[in-house]
This record gives sequence, structure tokens and C-alpha cells, in this order.
Amino acid sequence: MEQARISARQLLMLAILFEHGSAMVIPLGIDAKQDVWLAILCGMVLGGGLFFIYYRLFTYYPSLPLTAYSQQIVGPFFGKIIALVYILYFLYIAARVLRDFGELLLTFAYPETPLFVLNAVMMLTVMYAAYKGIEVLARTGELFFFSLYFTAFSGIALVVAAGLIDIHRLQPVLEEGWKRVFRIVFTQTLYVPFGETVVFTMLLPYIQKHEKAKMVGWLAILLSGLNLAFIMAINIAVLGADTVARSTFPLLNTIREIRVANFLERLDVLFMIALVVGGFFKISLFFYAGVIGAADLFRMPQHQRLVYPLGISVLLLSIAIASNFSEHIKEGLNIVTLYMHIPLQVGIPLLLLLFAIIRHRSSFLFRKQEKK
Amino acid sequence: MAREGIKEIFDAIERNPQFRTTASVVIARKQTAEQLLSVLTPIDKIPANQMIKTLEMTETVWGENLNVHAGEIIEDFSLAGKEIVMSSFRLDRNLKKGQQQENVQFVRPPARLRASELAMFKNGKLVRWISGEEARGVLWILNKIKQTAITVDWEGKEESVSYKVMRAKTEIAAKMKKGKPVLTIHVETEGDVGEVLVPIDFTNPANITNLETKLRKEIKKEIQKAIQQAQREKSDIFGLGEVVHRSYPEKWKKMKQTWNEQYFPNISVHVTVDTFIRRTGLRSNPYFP
Repeated sequence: MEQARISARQLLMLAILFEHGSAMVIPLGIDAKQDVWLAILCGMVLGGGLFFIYYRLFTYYPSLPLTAYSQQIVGPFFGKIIALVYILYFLYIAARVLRDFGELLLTFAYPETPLFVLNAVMMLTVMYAAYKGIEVLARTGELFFFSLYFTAFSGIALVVAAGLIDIHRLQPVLEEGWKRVFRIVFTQTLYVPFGETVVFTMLLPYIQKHEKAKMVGWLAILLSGLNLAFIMAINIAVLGADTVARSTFPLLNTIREIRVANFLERLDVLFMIALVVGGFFKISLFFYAGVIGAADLFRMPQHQRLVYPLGISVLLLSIAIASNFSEHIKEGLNIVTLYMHIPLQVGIPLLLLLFAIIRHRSSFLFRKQEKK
Repeated sequence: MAREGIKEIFDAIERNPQFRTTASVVIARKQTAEQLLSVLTPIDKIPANQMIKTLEMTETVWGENLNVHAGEIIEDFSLAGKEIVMSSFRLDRNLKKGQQQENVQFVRPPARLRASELAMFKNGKLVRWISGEEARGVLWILNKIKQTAITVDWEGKEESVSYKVMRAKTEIAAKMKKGKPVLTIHVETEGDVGEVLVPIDFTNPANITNLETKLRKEIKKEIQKAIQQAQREKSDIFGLGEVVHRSYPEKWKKMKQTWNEQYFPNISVHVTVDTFIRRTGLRSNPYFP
């Protein structure tokens, strides 16, 4: 743990940037076709529930990150195993997002640049941020929060001004009923991006006023859920569900459609800003969580010493995880969701909470008996 | 001219201090060089510049032409295990009209300079023209491919998937087996899907692996065709002899004299290709079901 404090507002901005991250640019939950916005909203509500689990754990151990209180809850041996699993999970997801980011830039902006170069440039920036610590990252977040919102608002205003939106493309609503929507919620949208707030179990102890943590988490999930649902609805209203499903980056295609007054066109740079800013915060937070987790588990007083070895591992991992983009996506949807997201975002936190409740209740009773 | 031999003409070019050996060399096909250079070209005022630009462009993006410098040709002449190969230019359509000012005033000029087949030489004499896939095969072996597009069949439909090569690398190694040289050519390519004419589900990585296997076979075929052509003409334009020379300098001394006649036509060449499709562009699946 670093000796650092961040305000509730900073954490909120970080969380919102984090949630938007890569979810904004990929065809998130598109298997639900034109009902994807519903799937995102349902994911948001259930994601709020997941965050409540993380928050309850935090109220029991307000000064410790997940990797530390897991050792207190289930004992040092199993706790350390759980901590190690989480550290690897955070670093692996950081590598996955880094890969997403590199592939995206490569596909539409730098077709002849090797993936390694793009990933390395991004990773160096992330490593620098992690080296400087959470306070610096939070202040950077405050800066970029507004730039992201500015691009988002100008982008939406231009899409509307260009008259691209055709609401009828969102119909028929619930073509195949709620079943399809919930299938997507429980296989995709709940975990990415909402379940990924599990990373905040590592960051909540830094918040200045502990009582605000719950509101911060819920507000971040609510705002980003609404935004993401809105963005996907606009994508479909502009492009149609089929084009969105076939696009590697639907938002890019939506922005490319903009053409206002014969001179406001080719605004791909808006997409670039959103992609780089969102990607940076998502990778940074996952990476930072992995680094402080490892520093805590291996009793390193300074997390800085772990930044370089772990950063280079993440960089190499991001290149090695898949031989092509469709393999990468397929792994993300099938393997990672089933074997990583579900147990680590839902299963283990729920079990930990259960044990924590039992433990605290029994010690509470024990203390009561002592008083008598 | 080229059929009679060009071996000796480069001496003056090499000796003259006012001439650089970085100049590109091409063969004029069907017309004489003088005739080709007298055609007015619309984009560049100087026809020779237009030719150089065309050549550089086609070599980098299409991979069936070869931009050879005078210095490389001179080097090849000095080596026993390497014959010469270079690009040719020819004139499309009307020569008479091409020499007049009007030629540059058309959107489609009546006369146009075109990069065409590769010329294969043996002992400084032109022996054969190589075109199309075989020409690309030659470039694969020479490690000159930078970008190109390869098409393969998919589920019975001919040439329905096109693959954009973004990076390629060729390595050649020589080994001795029972006193005879055996060569291995290994090609590695990286690229994207360029175009599909049949519905392929690219969200399924198995289809991508499948496509990679097909592309491997296609590239291998091109390379093998190029080798067969060269072996038939007994002209080692790939410089395989030089690979043997570098690995087995002692044995090369014996083979050197009869390399082109005796060894090269009967040499066995193993071709291995590794193809990677990294991504599929802005779309995954095509819009037609």
C-alpha cells in the first residue's frame, strides 16, 4: 500500500474513465442485436449489485486492499493464494486491454506499424503513471475526464446535427424477448465493463472519506452505464444492428458517417482521443492494482520496484496471448468470461463476504459474552 | 540487344566517375530503349523518372516487378552462383501518338509506359520472360516482397479471398546430403484480410487458421513454379549457389564451374511457408450471408 489519499471526486472520475475505457469502442454485447442498450442497462443494475459486495467487504476492512483482507478472512495460506490469483488476473486483463488498444490503432490508423511498437509506447506511459502512484493517476484523470466528455458531447451533437439518427433502426424492440437480453447480460455485459469494478477493491482504501465510497461506486456505474447504453443505441440508430455486429469498432464507423455543412467531416480524431484516453486509464488501473497487490503480497515497501519487471511482462503477454485479432476476441468472450470473470468478479468476492460476515458476527458475539 | 548479351556494357558505367551505380536498370521490351524514352508521359515530364517511380511503386505494393540497380547487376556478374533478373518495360498501344504533345492531354493517354515481365538472364543473355505468379515467386525467394495481395479459393469459389501481405521475410539455408546440396527456403508473412467474395465467419478463429493453410500452399506453389522455370533454363537467378558458397566454401570450389549446368537444375529445394493473418480490417464478417 502506498501512503496516498485521493478524494471521492477523483475516484469517481477515475471510475468513470475506467468503465468507458475499451467498452466504448468495441461492439459490446452486440449479440443482443438492437436490444443491446437494454442488455447494457440490465448489466448496469446487476453490476451495481456486484459493487455492493465489494463495498461491504470494504466496510469490514476499510484500510486494506483485497489482497490483504483475503488473508485475514480465510487465513494466510488460502488468502495468499487468492491474492496471487487476483494479481495475475489484474495483470492479465491489463495485457488484454493493451492488446485491444494496439489492435484498434493498428487497424485503422497505423496499418504498417508493428503491434509491439504501439503497445510498447502505451505501456511505457502506463508504467510511468504506475511508478508515480495513484495520486498522480487520479489528478491525470481529473484532466482527461473533461476532455473525454467534451469529445463525447461534441461527437453526439455532430451525429445529431448531421441527421444520421434513424430511431426505427432500434425496432423491433425485444424481437426475441427478454431471454436473449438476459443471456447477453449474464454472458457479457455484466462482467465487461461493470464487473470489472472489482479492481476498485484495491483502490477504495485510498479514498479520503470512507462513507462516500458507496455513492462513488454506484454513481460511476450509473453514469457510465447510461452513457454506454446511449452510445450503443446511437451506433445502432446510425448504422443498423447488422453493421454494428460486423464492425470491429462500431463507434469509429458512426463517427466516420458524420458530415456537416460539407466541411465538418473526417472526425476520426475524436474516436482516437476517446480510444487513447479510455485505454490508458483502463490499462493503468488494472496494472496499478496488480502492482500494489504484488508489492503488498511480497512485502515490498516500495511498489515502484515492481513496475518495470511487471510492465515488461504485461507488454510481452499482450503480444503473446493471441496470434490474431479474432482469436483474441473469441478468447475474451468464451474463456475469460467463464474461467476468470465469473469466479473472480462474482464467486470469490461473494464467498469472502460470506466468511467475513460469519467471522465478524462470531467475534461480535464473543465480545458480547466477554462483557457479561 | 539483351538476347545477344549485356555482360560487358556495365564496365563503362562502373568506371566513369560521373555515373552512379545506384541507377535503376530495365529492359525495353518489343520497342527499343530509345523509342520508350521518347514517349511523353502525363504525370512526369521525364519518361525515365516516370519509369523509376512506376517501378518503385509496383515493387513495393504489387510484388511482381523488381527494381534492380546497376551495382547489383555488376555484383551478380562477378558471382559464380547468381544469375541476373530484372524488370522490363513496354509500351502500351500507339508509339506514334505517344511521341506527340497530345499524349499528355488525355485522361487515358494513347501511349503508356508499363512495367511488364521479369527478364531472366543466363551468362548475360536474355533467355526467358517471367510473369504473373511466377514473377512473384522469384521475388519471394529474393526476399524482395514488401506488400502484395494473394487470392485463394474458398469453398469452391475461385479467387474469392484476398490476403494483404504487410510484412514478409525469406531465409535460405543450404545443407549437404550425400555430397549434394539441399536448400531450404523459409518464407514468413504477416498481413490482413483484404477482401472476401464469399461469406466467411471470421469471428471463428478456426476459419482463419484454415485460410492461413490455404495461403501457405498458394505461396509455396508460386515459389516452386519460379524454381522450376529457372531450373528448366539452367539459370540460377535466385543466387542459391551463393548460399551454398557461403555455407560450404570448400565444396563450392568443385561445384563452381558446373553449378548452372550440372547442379542447379537437379538441386532439391524444400519450401516452407508460415503465413499469419493478424486482423480482418474494419469488419469481421462480410455483409452478404
